[in-house]
Amino acid sequence: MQNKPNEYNLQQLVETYKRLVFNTAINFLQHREEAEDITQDVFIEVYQSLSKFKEQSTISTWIYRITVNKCLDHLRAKKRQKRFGFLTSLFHPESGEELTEISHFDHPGIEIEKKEKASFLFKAIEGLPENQKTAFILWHIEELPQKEIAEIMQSSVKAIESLLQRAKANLRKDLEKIYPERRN
Amino acid sequence: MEKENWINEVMQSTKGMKPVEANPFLFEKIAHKIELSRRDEVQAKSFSKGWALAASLVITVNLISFTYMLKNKPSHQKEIGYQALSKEMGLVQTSNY
Repeated sequence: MQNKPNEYNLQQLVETYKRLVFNTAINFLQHREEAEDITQDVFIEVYQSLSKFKEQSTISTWIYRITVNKCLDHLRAKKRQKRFGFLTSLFHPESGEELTEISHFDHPGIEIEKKEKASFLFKAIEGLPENQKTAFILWHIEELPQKEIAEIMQSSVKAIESLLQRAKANLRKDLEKIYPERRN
Repeated sequence: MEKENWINEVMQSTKGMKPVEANPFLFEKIAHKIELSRRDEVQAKSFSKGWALAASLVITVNLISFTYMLKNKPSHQKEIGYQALSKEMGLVQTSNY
């Protein structure tokens, strides 16, 4: 790895890690266009801070960390915006602010016969607290080993284990509530 | 039992998921954004350089005028002194012609 970033190695990095970044972003944000924007932002940050990368972790772990942080920041901003929209609609009902829940996410990488069930899972994931959501997405969807998840989240393997247990329990509880909504 | 099965199926529904391909022009888009932010940075730098130049010009002008004032002050004081002395000695010209 060269110390000084240039466009050539940025292109190499984009080619090597674009799938990782984009798919992680799409799993977090459940929105293709937003995931594309975040992917661009992640690589811009990678480009700007490549010289600061100290190789204490692997480059993929570092890129994962940047991606997760960007996604969580984006979700927080969206939540704030939603709250603001709600308040605006209380005072100005004619403004027509969107109050509807995000529609069920149709993940483009999921087989047709599993799509409906996966959309229930994504809906339940959306309601998890940030750290449980991160651990669950990285472990269950990205299929990363717990050790790498611990490095990404700068935590211990034990803490990740407990986060995953809590995440699974919460998801099950949520899915139990959703159960009557299913079609078959 | 049926509910449990359904929950298990939902939990396993993302297994075998295929990765989604990113935009084929992703690098070009990133390069374009970096170029734009670089241009903004250059503009901001030249703008601040302009301000710095204007500020240093003002300071220089002020310094020059201040030193000029300082240089002229003693002779002015001298003049006042002479005037006071000549007044005291009655050498002041009182006539207007």
